[in-house]
Amino acid sequence: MTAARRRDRPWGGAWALRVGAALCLLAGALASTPPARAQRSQYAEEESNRRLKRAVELFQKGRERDAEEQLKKAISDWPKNVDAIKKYAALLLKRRRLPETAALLRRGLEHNPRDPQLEAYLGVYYCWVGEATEGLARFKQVEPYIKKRGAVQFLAAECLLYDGNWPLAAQTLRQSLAAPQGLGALELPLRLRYAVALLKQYELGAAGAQLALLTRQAPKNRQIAALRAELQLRRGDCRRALKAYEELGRKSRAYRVELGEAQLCVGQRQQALATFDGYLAAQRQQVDAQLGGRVRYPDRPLLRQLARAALVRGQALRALGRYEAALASYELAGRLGGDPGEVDLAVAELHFARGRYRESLARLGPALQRAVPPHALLRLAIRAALRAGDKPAARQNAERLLGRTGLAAEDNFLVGVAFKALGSFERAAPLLERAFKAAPKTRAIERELAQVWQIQARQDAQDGELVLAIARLERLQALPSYGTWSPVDEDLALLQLQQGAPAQALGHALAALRRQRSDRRALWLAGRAQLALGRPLEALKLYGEYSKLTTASSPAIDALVRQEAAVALARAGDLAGATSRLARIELGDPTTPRAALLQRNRVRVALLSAAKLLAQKRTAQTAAQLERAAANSRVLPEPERAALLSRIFFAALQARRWVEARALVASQGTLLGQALLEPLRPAGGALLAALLDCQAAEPARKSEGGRKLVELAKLLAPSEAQLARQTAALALHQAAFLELGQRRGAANALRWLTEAGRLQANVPPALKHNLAVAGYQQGRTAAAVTALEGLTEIVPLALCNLAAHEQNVGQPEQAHELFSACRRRGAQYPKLDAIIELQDYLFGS
Amino acid sequence: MSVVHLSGRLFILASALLLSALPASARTAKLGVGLFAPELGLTPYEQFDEIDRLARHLATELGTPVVGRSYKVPRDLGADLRANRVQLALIGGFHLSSMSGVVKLLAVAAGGGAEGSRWSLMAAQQTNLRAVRGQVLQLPNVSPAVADFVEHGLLESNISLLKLFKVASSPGLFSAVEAVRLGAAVAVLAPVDTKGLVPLLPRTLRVPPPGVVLLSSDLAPELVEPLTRALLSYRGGKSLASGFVTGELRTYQGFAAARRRQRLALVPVAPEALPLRQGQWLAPQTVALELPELTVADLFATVRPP
Repeated sequence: MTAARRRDRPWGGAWALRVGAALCLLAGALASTPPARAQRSQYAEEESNRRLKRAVELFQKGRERDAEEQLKKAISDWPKNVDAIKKYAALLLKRRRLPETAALLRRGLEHNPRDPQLEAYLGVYYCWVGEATEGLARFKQVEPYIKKRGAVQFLAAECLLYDGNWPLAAQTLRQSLAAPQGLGALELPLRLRYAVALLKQYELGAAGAQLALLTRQAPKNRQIAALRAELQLRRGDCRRALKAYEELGRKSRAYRVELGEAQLCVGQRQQALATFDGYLAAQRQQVDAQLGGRVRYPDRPLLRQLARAALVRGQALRALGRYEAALASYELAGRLGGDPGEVDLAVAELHFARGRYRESLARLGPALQRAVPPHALLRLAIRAALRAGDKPAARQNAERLLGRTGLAAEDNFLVGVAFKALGSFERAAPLLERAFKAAPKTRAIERELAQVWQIQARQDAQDGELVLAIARLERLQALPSYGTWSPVDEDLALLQLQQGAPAQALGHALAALRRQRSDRRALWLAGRAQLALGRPLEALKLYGEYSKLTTASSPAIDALVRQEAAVALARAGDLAGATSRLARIELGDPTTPRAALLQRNRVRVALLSAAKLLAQKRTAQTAAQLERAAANSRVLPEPERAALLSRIFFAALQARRWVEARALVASQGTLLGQALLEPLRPAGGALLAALLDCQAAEPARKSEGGRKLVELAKLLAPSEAQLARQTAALALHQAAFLELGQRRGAANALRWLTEAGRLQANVPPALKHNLAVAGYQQGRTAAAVTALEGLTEIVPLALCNLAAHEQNVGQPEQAHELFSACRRRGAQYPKLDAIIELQDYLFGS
Repeated sequence: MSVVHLSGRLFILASALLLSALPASARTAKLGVGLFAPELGLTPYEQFDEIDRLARHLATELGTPVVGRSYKVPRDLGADLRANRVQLALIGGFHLSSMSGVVKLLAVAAGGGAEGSRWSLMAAQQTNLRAVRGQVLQLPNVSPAVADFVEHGLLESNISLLKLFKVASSPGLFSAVEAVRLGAAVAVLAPVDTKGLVPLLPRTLRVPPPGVVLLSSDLAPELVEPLTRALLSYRGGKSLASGFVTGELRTYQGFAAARRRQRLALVPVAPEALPLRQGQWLAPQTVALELPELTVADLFATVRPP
């Protein structure tokens, strides 16, 4: 191995030197071991020792071949010259002539089976041939015989680092460095290796600490400087790393791969590519030998370096957009024995970047089969599976990544996104929250978290959990970008409206409008809130603004706005406008709730219009409006229709429009009867008609009404239903009341009132009173007066009637007192004021 | 028998036939029209002058002799009626309302208006009933039932007139009012617009105007219409300057109730309200348009990133 080649192999070529040095140390350490007590001839022994001495001198002069010749001869002269064997073995190991070394060491062990040095050399041999476990076992075996502190640990660490077993190397070194007795001169190299192992494992904090210690001990050490640069590179401080590598590169051609990495890291893609190309060209022979299978026991660190160079070169090519070349470079890295996981990951990333998600996932497949795939691999697998639409794979890999410990924010984020894409929002939310907590300034995390919260809020709303939905959306207010985000405010406004909190809803809607005045959805919500707050004029302004905008809007909201604007108009008193707007809205499927609502509103607005017209005493228009309302109501379900008709009917009654009310009873009497007097279904309409006849103040109808009332009472009286009997009694009472107002009606009235009293368990005071009046008119004066006297506390009119009786029997002064008391009680008696005025004049003081 | 003798006998026979064909009134030749309307406030001479003027007018219009007769008391009118000396009469509202035997109302005096005049107890000065209690009340002899009109019509049967006043009678309104003015009486039943007097009661009687009524059913029916026409075309002197208009006897019959004892009717109370379910008597104002329901899930914003 040439010096130049050694320089190019910082951990490869130098490794042999270091091992050689360690072996020398071992030689010194074992000087005190008992010499072999083999039988030999004096001459051969002397000659062999002389040659051995000569070989050492030649070796020290750098004449290795001559030294090798001398050692060969020394062993030939005296095969049991274990010292010569050891020296030769060391030389062979140094020159990586491993098969010969193995044979030599076995021969030496035949002569001296328990020689620790030979065992140690054999351990080194095993390490180099890739049997690190066997090598480590040998080191363990000889440890008690080696006095030099840290020597065995050093060999073990070197073996492990050669093998690339960074975790075990780090563990071994950590234990060695913690030894209470200290490591003496070997502490520095051991700590250096410990730092290497830590760096390779990306334990950057611990590595930095070790490097700080090392730098204090050996500030000018180039290896330590190189490790510091690597640490910077790993930490992403690429510019400083590049500077350091450039500084190191002025004195050595080593660290070219790291230099390339640093160049790539700072964006010097072309330079990085050139660096890698130069390095690989320089290592062409090694590469060819490796690819040609000519190397039986490859130099593992060198091979790793070559693979690393090919891999990072591929990344440089990828960054330059030369994907095919990058793929070839990655494949080269794979053939050079690069970490399959890394190679697969790089290739998969390349496919992923090119949108070939299935290929990416397929490439990752074998790597994922390994027991513990790296986090990055799992991350890419999740992303590729999500993009490829392979949900089972995405879930599986997300679960695997989630099962790992020490997840970074990125991992939590990615798994959260995966669960979100898979529809597992309950699982996604805590992961994204954790990621957001760890990296609160990352917009992507915030965005995904916000979306998940929004989706969860929507699901809550769908489930009717409005309070929960509001709580979830209100959490969004804590996000940094909330201030620029309208949909949440709009959804909050919607939920608050649904919750019956229009003031809060208005606040949210206005907040959204402050951000964007042309936000149609926010305009609608603000209008709706204003309407719910009883401010139709403000609502109309917002609806007007909504309709002027030409931006796209939801058809569902458009339909709502049209109806709500009509409602707002009606509430603002513009019934004509409301009617017109409602008429313009297409009815659609009449069986839908919205169509029914439209119909109800049409009927209601017609009803309100009718009420307005009634107030204006525009009877003809009122009748037309009522008719229209009734006609529209036919498409409604019967209960709704009956209720509305009853509203129309009572609106007419309250406006004292008997004719219109009666017309309604004539056309919708049965339905009205059902609505008003449920137990009296068939008779309700007739009863209402009769009552209306009485109330219409038309003499001709009054008598007809009285007759109908009596007929109705005959129908109802046999009923067992309390309301029916009560209504029958009332009908008789009403009929009697009409009769009492007419001449010669007292006989009928008395009969009907008696019957009415019989129908009721508790005879009402009004009925008792009228019974007395009828009896009086029939000449039953004494009984009537007694009855009236008993009713004066309940029926004030009884006082007036008693007064009238006193007047009639010539007791005007008593009558005066009773009339006055009657008036004080607020009773209505014909010409009562005039009577009292005269009596006041006649009898007053 | 000579022709002359025959023609003389024929003349006598024809004359007898013609005479037998004439109606009784024509046969009596004189139509009697009486006047009993003390409420007009006329002196005896003015009364006679008024009825004479009317009689002459009717005579002119009907072409038959008409005699006007003025009466101080209704009894004399009744006697003349029974003696068929008077067939029709102009009678004051009080008496006309209470008299029987009226065949037909031909016309009513237009001077007091169709609704007549308002009467009450009038005093010379503003006072009250307590102050004048026990003093003389002058009642014009407008009707034999004038005291009933006051007691039941004005006082509404609240109190007996004799308990309140010493009642004195006057032949006419003029003398009754003069008695109050002269201090012979404290109050008088008189129209409320009588000059120099003020009402004593807060209540008035609306007395129908005097009317011309047909009293005798013997009068030929074909004369009724010319008679009515003649009355309506009359424009009289002091009291009947506005003449007559057509009227209805029902007005007088209604007023007649005022002289009867007032009997108050007992009034029924309105039945209870219908037993309708609560909330059905809705005022139109309470009918509010319904807002469309918010289907929250459908209306949620599309999930958009910040």
